[in-house]
Amino acid sequence: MRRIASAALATFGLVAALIGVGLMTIWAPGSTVSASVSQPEAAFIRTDPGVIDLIGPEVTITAKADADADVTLAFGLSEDVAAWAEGLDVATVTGLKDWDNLDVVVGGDDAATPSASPEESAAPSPSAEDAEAPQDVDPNIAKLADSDMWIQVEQGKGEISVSYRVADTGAMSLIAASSDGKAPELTLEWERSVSNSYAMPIIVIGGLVALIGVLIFVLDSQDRRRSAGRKAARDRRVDRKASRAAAETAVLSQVSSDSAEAEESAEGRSEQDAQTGHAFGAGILPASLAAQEFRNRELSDEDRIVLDATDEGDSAGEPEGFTANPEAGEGRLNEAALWEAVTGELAAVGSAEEDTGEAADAGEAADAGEVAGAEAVVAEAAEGVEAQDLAGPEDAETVDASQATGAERNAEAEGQSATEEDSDEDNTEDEENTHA
Amino acid sequence: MRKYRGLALAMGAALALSACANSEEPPSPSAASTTEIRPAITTERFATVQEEIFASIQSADSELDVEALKVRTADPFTRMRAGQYRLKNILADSFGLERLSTSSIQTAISPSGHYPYAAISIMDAPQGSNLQTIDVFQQESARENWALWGVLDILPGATIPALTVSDGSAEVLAPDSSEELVASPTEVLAAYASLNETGDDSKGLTFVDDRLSQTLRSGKEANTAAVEGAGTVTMTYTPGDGGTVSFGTDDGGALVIGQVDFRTKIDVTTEGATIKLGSTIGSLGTGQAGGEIEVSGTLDANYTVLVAFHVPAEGSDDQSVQVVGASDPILLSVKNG
Repeated sequence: MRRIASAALATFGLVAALIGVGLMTIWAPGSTVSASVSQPEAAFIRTDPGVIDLIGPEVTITAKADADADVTLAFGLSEDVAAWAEGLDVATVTGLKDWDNLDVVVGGDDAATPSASPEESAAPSPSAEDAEAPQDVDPNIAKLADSDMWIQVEQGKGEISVSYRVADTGAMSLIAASSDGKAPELTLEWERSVSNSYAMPIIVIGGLVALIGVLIFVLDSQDRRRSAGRKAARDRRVDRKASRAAAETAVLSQVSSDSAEAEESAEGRSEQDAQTGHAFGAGILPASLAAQEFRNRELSDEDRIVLDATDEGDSAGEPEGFTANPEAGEGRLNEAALWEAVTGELAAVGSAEEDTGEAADAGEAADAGEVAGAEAVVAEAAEGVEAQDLAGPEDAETVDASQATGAERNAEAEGQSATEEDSDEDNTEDEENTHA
Repeated sequence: MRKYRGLALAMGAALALSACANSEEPPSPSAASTTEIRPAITTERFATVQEEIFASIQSADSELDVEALKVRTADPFTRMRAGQYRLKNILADSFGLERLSTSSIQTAISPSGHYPYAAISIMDAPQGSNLQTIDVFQQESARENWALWGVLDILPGATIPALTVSDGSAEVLAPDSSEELVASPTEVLAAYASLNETGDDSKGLTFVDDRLSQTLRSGKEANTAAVEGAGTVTMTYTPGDGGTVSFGTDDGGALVIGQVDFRTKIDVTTEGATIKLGSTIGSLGTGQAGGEIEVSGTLDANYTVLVAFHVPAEGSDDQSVQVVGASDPILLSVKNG
């Protein structure tokens, strides 16, 4: 649903932004306004205040009459133009009828304009004379160009076009006439700044909406990827649990002894060894500096374990023969006995190390040159807790794994393959946690 | 079908928005405020108009063409200049037209809105004179152009009062406006005419004795002496048809400029006696330079003159009306018989 909504928002925003751009370009209002009025039925044509600067101060005026007529166009203060035209037959441009046509009133109300002289006001209007003698031309047309009132006067034959800048906003007007007695056709043209007030807000809003749509889409995609990852991990955990549930397990019985002496004695240890399926005291020391130090440390006499070499007769009561003179035959016998005692336990450990990916350590343990290490392992068997503390947490895990593996080893090859799978799954979980 | 619904909606929205582009209504014209007072014509534009006026007069002067003169002059100036043309036509080089200064020192223009418009300029002294002049201009109506209405010399020792100017426009007073003045312009002009005619009746106003009055009195005395035993000389004064042009002054008074016509009437009272008159009267009466006219009955010589008064404000310490400017009296016509 969010994906649909984001797509809809992005599309709408994009369309709105494009429309905004269109409003500023292809749909923008024209930069030129040109409005006209054809020749009105009057002798003069003038503009009301504010008309010639209706769109902007720069205006181009075109007055067009018959080709052989003299056209006069004058600019002046609106008050002066109105006073000059008062009582004459004049058409007044009052504004824009629409964007293309001027609004014109023929006759008009001049009551608000300054009064002309009484003689002028009392004189019959030329329009009335025109009604009786339409062929007569108003004599004031010839006087139009000579008035002191005008700021600018232009004259030409047939048609004139003038650019004019209105300096006094709303206070200037024009008046035009042609010598044939008919007011000329008038066109006012302005340049205006093209601006569509709707365009920019539409572009901005459209862009924002599109951006929001894209953001929602991106967030949704991220959520989907995370959900897929979580589901895959969950599936793997379920599979792993199912796999573990299907694996064969072995239970080690609890080792108990009556007293410390019994535990220290050879009989006690044999009993414990039997009870734990030769797994008691087994452990692995990784090939680390700490482990190396641990292996090479000086042992006190009390820490030493004296193995009872029952098969070797007299030599069994002389452990110093093994440590003091390894070259002697007794020493070698003791060493062989040691190997026999240790390999029974390390065989399982070496196998477990291989299973847990610690092949290098296992290889080192199997090396004959690592006798001291083997001794350390044996010493660790006597003080398992201390050895684990020295080896650190990773080693402790390894010991646990090896213990478990040892148990599985007892369960034959099927248990071994199950251990490999566990190891892989642990690695996968670590990766997932890291990823998360 | 459903998948096109969104596209249709987007198209509809586009059309609706595009309609915004051309739905703007044309603006309505907005006129500037009409309450603002402005001069009837800008000073810059008026300077150009002055040049055109003097150029037109100069052109008319060169042809002594009264019709050409009327293009840029108005009565009373037209009437006075036309009288000079008549003498010039008769006396030729022995008569000089009054010289006009074309250099304006200061100009005050009446506000727009009510015709006739008026303007007054203090001009440099024209060539051949050491007196600055007061030139008065007038625009009678919107379709009439500005015209020279009158030219007066500022009398020696007189001071033209500062005019009241606000928003660039000088305050103009109507001929019958007596508010805050000792008398209206029309009353002042009539009183001055009466004073010159009677010598003592100034219609309740007090006039400071002025050079024009002195000259007129002297002329009357000279004429009376000249015809003594043969006839009598009377001089009558009337306000001219040109009316008055008045501006408010900073001291609350007014500068009033008006035309005074006066007639010199010579009656031959002794039977069989004749009086010979030469000079301008003889030339104009005979139509010949150096001509003499013999008067056996009655002769009327009509003159006109422009006078400028400083009319004090009502309640001011000095209630005397002072003549500050005057033109040369111009002989307009002579009628013998």
